[in-house]
Amino acid sequence: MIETLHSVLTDTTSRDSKAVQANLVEQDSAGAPWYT
Amino acid sequence: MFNLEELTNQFKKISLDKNIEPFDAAVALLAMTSIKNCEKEKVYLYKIVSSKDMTWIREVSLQELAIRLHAIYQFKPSSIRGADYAELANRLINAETEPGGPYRASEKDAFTTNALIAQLFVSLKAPLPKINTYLLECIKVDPQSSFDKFSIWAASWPNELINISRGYGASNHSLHKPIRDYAIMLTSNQPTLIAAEIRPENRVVIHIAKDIEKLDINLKLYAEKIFQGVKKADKNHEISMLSKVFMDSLDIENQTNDHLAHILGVSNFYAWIAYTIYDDFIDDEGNSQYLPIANLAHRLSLQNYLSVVNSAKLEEVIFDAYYSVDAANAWELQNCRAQIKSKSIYISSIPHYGDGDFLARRAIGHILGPIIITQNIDGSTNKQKIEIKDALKHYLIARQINDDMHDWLEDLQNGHISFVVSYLLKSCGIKDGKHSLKILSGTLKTYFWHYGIEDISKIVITHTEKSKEKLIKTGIMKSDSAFISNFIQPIEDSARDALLRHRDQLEFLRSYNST
Repeated sequence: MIETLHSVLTDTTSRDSKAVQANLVEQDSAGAPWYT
Repeated sequence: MFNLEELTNQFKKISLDKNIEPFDAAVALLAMTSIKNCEKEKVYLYKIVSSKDMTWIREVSLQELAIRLHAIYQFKPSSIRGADYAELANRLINAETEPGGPYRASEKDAFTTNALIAQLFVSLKAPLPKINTYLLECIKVDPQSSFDKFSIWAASWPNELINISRGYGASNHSLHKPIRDYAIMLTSNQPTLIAAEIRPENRVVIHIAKDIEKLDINLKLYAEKIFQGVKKADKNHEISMLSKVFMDSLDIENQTNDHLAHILGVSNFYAWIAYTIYDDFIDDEGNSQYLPIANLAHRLSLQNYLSVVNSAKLEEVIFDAYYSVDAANAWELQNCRAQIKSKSIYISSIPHYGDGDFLARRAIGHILGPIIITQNIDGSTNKQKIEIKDALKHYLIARQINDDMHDWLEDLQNGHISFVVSYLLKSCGIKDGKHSLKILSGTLKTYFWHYGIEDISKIVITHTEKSKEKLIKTGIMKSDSAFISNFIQPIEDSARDALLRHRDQLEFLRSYNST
């Protein structure tokens, strides 16, 4: 989620809700941050 | 001038001030991040900083917002929820001069505000470099700056944002805020990085390292590499100390046998070395340079197991376990592989993992130590022994599915239809045949995010709960045992964390004002 927060702050193309959801989906598939 | 101990004591004392404001409480809490033995003060400050609810996020100045969130994040990161991060995004976007900062504040507060925002994002591991550039510009434009000590502190604690001396430009005058003066003094004596604690290596790891030292030079190079890999995987001692912790967790007198626990730990460690290498071959990623090590480690694992059992029945248990692993690997190779060719995946059939028993059979070697210990318990019934083995199988299944949940996309792209990939394919109604890897990945990713994380995390939790319940129900395992808290509970916590994070993400999405 922090990655999504960072994206919406730094990249204006990541700001609409569809882009935010796509970003969240992508992060979870890319290797879940909860895994340690 | 105070020494550090006196300073800390003074600081602790003034931190408990009844009238301390949330901003200063955040300064104090942040300054105490790496100070030990001040839990009482930290909890007191945390309550003031976080307040009863988080509505202040919408109301306070940006600098107060940044430092309070930062202090909370350092003390208890899980208390910042998705909706809070979304509100932070909304506030920052509204105040940005350009994407990524800097952010608008009054002229007097602009430097400190941006420094505090930058500090928060560095700690979140998502830095905003444009703010650092802005801070540097401020310093260049105003070299005779009248920045006060607090502004300089904001740019240098806990992360050195720009190359600036903590004494730069700042007068030595008091800030009229004793707590801030103390915070600055206290942190000026602390390193900006907190050194990780060094944990001593355990006896099993030392035993293996000594064995490797004696090896032929041609074996030693790759043995050392794979040893380091398994040692890394053993970070919570789940490989080397599983048997020892299991033994200590039994609620039975006179069951401690350090030699047995040690040899079982060594055997498990060697089995992990062997099967880490074999698994690479099973996944078509094998390096033949490692094969002699795998064979040697496999032999040593078996030899060590056999050295501590004194009955044909237990020998059979050991050989059955190894057979189970081989048979499961063969099943996986025949049923869980799809061909990858020219960005397409060819699925011939989607494997049925059923209740996950296959996952337990493939990993049963990992729990061989506890199984042997259970067999040796005087006076335990057959029913108890079966129940313990069953409980340990649930632990293995939970562990494997939790790992699969992390790796599923990579598995799919490599044509490995793991438990999680199989679940996703079936849930999305994917049929056998050729599929574009890109389109299929997209479909599964969306399903995974909407439903998969919840469903799979719940499956993991079901298995950890069954494992704990069955172990305790046998009457042999203590309910507060280290085996449960060190090895089963972390899997469950990880799955519960995944659920929580996902719900946070949904909250973020709902609370974020789309632009």
